[in-house]
Amino acid sequence: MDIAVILVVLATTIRSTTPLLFAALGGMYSERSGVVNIALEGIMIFGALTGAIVAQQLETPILAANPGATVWWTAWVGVLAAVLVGALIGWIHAVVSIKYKADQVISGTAINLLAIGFPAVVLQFFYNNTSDSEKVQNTLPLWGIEGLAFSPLTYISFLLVPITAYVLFRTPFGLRLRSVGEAPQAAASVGVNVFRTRYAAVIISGILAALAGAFLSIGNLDGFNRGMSAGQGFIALAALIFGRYQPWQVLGACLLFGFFRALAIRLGGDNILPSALVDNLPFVITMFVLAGLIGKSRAPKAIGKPYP
Amino acid sequence: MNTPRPNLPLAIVAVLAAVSSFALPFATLTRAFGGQAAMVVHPGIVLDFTGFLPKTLPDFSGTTLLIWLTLLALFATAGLAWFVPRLVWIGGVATVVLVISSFVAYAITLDAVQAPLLAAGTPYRRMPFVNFGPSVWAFVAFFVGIGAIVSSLRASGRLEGFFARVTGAVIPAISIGLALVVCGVLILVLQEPPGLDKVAASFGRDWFARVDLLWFSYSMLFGPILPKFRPELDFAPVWQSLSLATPLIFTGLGLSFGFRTGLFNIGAPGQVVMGGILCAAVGIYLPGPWFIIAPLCVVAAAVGGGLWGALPGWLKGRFGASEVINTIMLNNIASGVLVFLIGANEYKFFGNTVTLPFKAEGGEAKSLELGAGGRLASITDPFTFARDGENFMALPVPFLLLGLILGLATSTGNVQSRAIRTGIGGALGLGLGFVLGAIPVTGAMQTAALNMSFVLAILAAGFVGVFLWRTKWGFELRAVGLSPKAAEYGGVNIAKNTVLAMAISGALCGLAATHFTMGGALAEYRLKQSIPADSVGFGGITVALLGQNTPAGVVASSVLFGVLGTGGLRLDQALDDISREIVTVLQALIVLFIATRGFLSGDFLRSINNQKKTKKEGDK
Repeated sequence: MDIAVILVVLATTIRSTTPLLFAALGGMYSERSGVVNIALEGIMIFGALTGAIVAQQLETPILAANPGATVWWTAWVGVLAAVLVGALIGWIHAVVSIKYKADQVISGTAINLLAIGFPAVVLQFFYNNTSDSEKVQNTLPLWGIEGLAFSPLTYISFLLVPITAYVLFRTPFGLRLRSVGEAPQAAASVGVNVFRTRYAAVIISGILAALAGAFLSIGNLDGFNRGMSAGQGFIALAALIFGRYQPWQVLGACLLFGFFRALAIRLGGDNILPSALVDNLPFVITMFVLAGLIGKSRAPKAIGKPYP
Repeated sequence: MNTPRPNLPLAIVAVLAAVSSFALPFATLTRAFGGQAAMVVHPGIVLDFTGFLPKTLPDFSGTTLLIWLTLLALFATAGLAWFVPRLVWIGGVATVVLVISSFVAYAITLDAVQAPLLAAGTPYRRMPFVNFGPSVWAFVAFFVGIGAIVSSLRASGRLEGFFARVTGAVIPAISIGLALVVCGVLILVLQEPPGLDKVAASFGRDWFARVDLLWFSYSMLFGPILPKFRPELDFAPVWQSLSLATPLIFTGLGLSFGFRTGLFNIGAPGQVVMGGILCAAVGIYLPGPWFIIAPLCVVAAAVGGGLWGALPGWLKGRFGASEVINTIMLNNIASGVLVFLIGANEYKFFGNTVTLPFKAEGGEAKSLELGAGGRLASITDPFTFARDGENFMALPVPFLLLGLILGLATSTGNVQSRAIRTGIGGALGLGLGFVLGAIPVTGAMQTAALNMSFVLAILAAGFVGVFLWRTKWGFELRAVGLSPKAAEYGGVNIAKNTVLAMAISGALCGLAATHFTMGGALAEYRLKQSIPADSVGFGGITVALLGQNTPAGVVASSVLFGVLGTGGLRLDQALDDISREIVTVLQALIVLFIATRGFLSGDFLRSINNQKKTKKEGDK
């Protein structure tokens, strides 16, 4: 195979892995603390929407004065806004499922449902249509060498793997987080504040999922459109399970699923396999993993159970 | 009972209602297409945001006088609530009667102006007071009056049975209310009140424009529950609401079936798609008369959804894999399969070309057309007759069936009393049907695609009710849902029941596809990529929760969402900055608020539950 082809597939794999990695690591914080987070998909959409709209609205007056202007900070403010919104949605999920002890799957479903309707409502207000934002001219920069240049968020996402491994397994906070996910009563009996730990975990998870969204809309592309998440939040959930809730294995799972995505794009052009089928591989693999047919993935013991 | 306690809340509400008559519009005079209104505020003040109100307005002094009397009745209600709570119903009745008569006086005044114009042949939309109607304050006064009557009856202990029966609806009702409040705030933030630019700015005008915007939005959203009366009688809004409700009933039943057995089937979107694929395949490729093909198509839809549900059920029963994650995975796989089947005719596998026949020729992602045998008739067809070149739908038979169903659904007790209740329901329905006679069938009603799958949905609701509460299998399934360990100890095979429950749940969801493929709800009798599997599937979660997992509740909440969906469409057309997706937001918020149990405290919920239990024990 041509070296150029390999390079392209490699670059596409890394780009496709980024949002999965953000969302899957986010899911890890939440689920390790015992709170199911199927809202990753929805939070991702909120992050993408916020990033695109804030960046676009900020650059509009500048571009009105000078159409060719390049400004570096608008996209970063967009990312910051996405992070804040992600934290907010995470907080809502936390309040509903921790304070009000709701079924966490129902709460997550509600947020996903909100992410279907809310973007259309907001886009109608800003851009008079229900599917796309206007193009963002000044998106996040690309760092790297020719052919292998990536958004800064890509580097951050990969850096987050060792950071998460360190935080979860080498810090007191990580120990508490894992303990409230396995045995909340036992953790509480030695003085861990179960509620506060879970709140923190779910809010972190919201922030990371929103970063995944911001990467999609102003890192990888130049605007928001309604189909852009395309179930990647659910693929991230799949990667989290496939990676057995371990940071390095989750990285492996995300790279594999990202590679499938790159392959689907590549194979679609080469007429080897229809991309509609290749796209489904992550889901099929995850089902096998859940059934214990390819390795066994064990979820935290207290997952999905509200703490009294 | 010698020292009656003053009913303080009612007294305060009545006084507030009276005072608010100066701050809330009593009625609208006319409404332009973009939502701009001219309205009447007590005492007789006319505010115009439309800009084309006639110079000389009719004399509203009769209405104004009656509103003054209504205020008097409200103050009387407040006084009675404070001093003689026993007699508060008198104030309530007076308020209701007076507020209704003030609106009647208002309508008579306007009709007096419009009648000669109509007689002269002016089209209805050219009338000076087109679409006039009651507004916020009229409803406030009306409901405070009703509230006074209800509180009086309740204090006398006459409504205890009723209240005990509706406790299940407390959380859904509060959740809907909260979601409507949030959506109201959203509307106020996003939408500049229409017509505000046409008047000189002032605090008062601003206030009334915003109040009217909210009133307009809500009345648009809930409006389709009634047929259109002007310019002519048209049941299209009702038809469209029921058409939108049909697939939701199926998925809602499927979801609630799962919830009852302790399973969360998020896989409805995938099951709808798989049901649709199998259903369409049978309908496309199997030739034959309709009475063979149509039932086979329906069975195929159920089988497609059922298998797609049984698979995660088996994975859970056999391997203990979470059905939540597996159904999510299967949703994505199903949509991939759909794209594969109807996305292109030819595929290359390792260089070999494979041709798939399922997709119709052309650029659009849609399947071939179903044969005539696989199509479901419109619901009006069996009852339609023509007179003077126009089509009408005869009502006696449909109303008879409706009466029988409602009678059966609301009956309790032994077979005999159930039969009597059902018979009475049927007789009332038949009588009403004969009184009403027939309704005109319009083109808009036909395009609403309300078809026989609606009847199928009602039958499915009956099936779920009978299966879960009247059979041994249903009892076992509910036992597993309530307490798996206890059920297993009692000899129930959990694994087998999980597969069965997921299969039935999936089959019910799969049946939703009949509405789209066989019923032509996608404008053609085909499977298209635009099949709204996600919104129907996730909407099923909403209606199941809102309906408290009972078949009747699911049907009622599906119809509610059908109405809101239709209303959302009309609101979208009327207001520039509001999208119809506001209804999806509303759905999501309702789910969120139900999940938090309407923010009600545990103590309160326990107290209403105890009330229910005491009532039940009292019955025995």
